[in-house]
Amino acid sequence: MRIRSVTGAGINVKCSCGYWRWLPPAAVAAVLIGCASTETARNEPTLRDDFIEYRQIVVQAIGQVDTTMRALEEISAQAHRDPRPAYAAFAKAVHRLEVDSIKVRAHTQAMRARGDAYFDHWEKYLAGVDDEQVRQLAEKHRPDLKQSFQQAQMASQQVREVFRPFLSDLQKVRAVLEADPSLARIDAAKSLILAAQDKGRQVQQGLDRILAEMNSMTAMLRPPGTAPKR
Amino acid sequence: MKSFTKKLALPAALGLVVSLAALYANLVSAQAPWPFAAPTTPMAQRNAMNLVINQANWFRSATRTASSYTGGGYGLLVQQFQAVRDQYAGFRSTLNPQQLNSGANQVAELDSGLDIIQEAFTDYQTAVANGQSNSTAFSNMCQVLNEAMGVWVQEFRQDCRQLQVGW
Repeated sequence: MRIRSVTGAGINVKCSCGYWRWLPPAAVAAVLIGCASTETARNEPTLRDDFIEYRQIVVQAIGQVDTTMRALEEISAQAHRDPRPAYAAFAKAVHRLEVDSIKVRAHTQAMRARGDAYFDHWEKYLAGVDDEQVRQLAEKHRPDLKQSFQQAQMASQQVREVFRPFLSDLQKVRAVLEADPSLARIDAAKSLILAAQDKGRQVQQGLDRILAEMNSMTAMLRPPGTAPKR
Repeated sequence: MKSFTKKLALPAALGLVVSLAALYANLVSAQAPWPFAAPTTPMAQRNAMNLVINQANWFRSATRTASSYTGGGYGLLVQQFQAVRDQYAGFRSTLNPQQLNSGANQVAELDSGLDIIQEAFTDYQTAVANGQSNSTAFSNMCQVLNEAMGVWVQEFRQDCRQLQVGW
């Protein structure tokens, strides 16, 4: 009620110059009322389970890269027969990789940009999980978890650095063979295909390393007697 | 003596005007951030979030029709993509410190996601330079941009839910 009267004094300022003196307190009151609004006060976001999500994204990325690598190999394998279906499958795989790899590339780039702060976030999440056993395990294995994260971060850096040139090579192969995926063209693009395969293997190694570290972190956080999740 | 006073009075008056102007400018600039700072109220967050989603949808729609535009529509796509970035920057400024703190990794990933999607423009130019036909390279770029933005918006929505944007 008191607040209402103060605000009312602020509204009536144009009626008389004497009321101007009410304007500053009214403004302050209005600002304070705004600050005390329950709408903003209950904005308490929950932390995301970065750890599980990143592992899933890495698993998906491994599948995407494997599919693309197989499709690339198939072009060379089918070169003496009819390589057109193999080329079509390869072009489709490259397109899928261009789109679906966005998540893993965004994660690796963000990990690099945020450095240790990225892991601090994971730690904060683990410190707040409901499962008491997991919280204790996270505390107990803190240095090992940190080390595993650093390894995963290094592998992510490798993936981030090689992924773009790998994709670029794949796009070049697609462009070169697009008009005529014949034996002659495939032979001419041999060095390009080999370069793409080489970079692809580096990406696969990097992703495998990340997954190995994530699995080792999962094992550290698994309460004894519980079955491992896929 | 009188003319001397007159001579002095003009620069002094000018100096006074300049000083007052500088003082006023200082006052204005000191106060300026307050009214122009983006509000972090739930309403402002919801509005900013919807603006990002709408702009992303317009962009996706533009990728589907761009090839029919005169001149290929490349410039239009670049412009629409920049508009998504701008709306997203506006959205970020409405997040409160708690959300920025809890969602720091997510925000960094969304930032990176836009950077990565933007690479499709460079890929298109490289593809054309490598001898791919302009229409095929453009069509590839449009498809990648359309689907990639779809993935990004999905992540954006998910992150907004997680960070309780607009609650």
